[in-house]
Amino acid sequence: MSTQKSSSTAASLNPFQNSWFNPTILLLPLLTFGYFQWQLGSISELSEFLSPLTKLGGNSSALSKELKDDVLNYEVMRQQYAAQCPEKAFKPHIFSTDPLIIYIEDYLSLDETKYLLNLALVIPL
Amino acid sequence: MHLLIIANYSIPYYKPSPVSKGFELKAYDKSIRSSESAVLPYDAVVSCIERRSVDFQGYQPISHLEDIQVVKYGISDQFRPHFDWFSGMANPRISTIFAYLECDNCVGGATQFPDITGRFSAKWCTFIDCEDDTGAGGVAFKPVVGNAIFWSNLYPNGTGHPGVWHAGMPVKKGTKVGLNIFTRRDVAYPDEGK
Repeated sequence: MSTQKSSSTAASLNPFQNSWFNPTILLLPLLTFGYFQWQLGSISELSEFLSPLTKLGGNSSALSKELKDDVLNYEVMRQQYAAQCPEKAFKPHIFSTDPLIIYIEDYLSLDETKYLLNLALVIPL
Repeated sequence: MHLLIIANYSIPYYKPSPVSKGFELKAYDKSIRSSESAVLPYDAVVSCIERRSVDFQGYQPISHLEDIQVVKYGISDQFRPHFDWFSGMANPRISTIFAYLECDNCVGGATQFPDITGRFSAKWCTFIDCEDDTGAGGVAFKPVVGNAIFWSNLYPNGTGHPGVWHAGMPVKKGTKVGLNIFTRRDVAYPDEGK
């Protein structure tokens, strides 16, 4: 059951190449996946009292929660940025005027850097 | 299940970074440039960063931007000294913004301007490698995540400025990922109606 779920998630990332297609829609299946993970998470927490065997899966469960949080955060961020670009405070410092070189401190927020790194991983060739 | 998802996430959608040799575009030369690039698709967050980049430059039209590229440098990857401008470019790159996205315990990987000399305040040592021992000379901006370097490629009269000769220094440890934002003098993709 769980294998099926993950392969459908993997497939849903690929149609990104249709640029007219709203990426938000494509990410909706991931929300279901997230819910599923959450459900599985609570079940395994309960069963920890029942069987020591489930402890074997402890590490991967923590890992998938992190991943799930990331995917949801990216989606929330995308919606926020689509509604309105946030005001980003940054600090420019002129290093040279000839040639003109300006060093810009905090040009991108930490969330933006993470988001862009992720975006570069999921876009197709 | 988890492994499958992780594997899917770590597929590197990067291609070797091209090197422009005069007008011969899309040439790949590992001895000059060994990084990998990914052109980012249309995206709301990318759009806002594009907007930020043109607004910074006195509200240039967003249509003058090339598609933003993510560039990844692994160990010993580098981009030897080069210009982002070429003489005779019909629609020259007037400016470059290079931002750092990731420096995962990276060592090396500074953005070096070998021909920039002169004195600067010691306060710059936060951003510039003041103990630079690469022998490349000039100034080396350290990879600091979230920070960016903007420079003009041209003199006001439109000819290329020799002072912006620069290099992506070899990464000795870890990975460095950067973002390239190039602004053209005119509309970047006139045929696409972008």
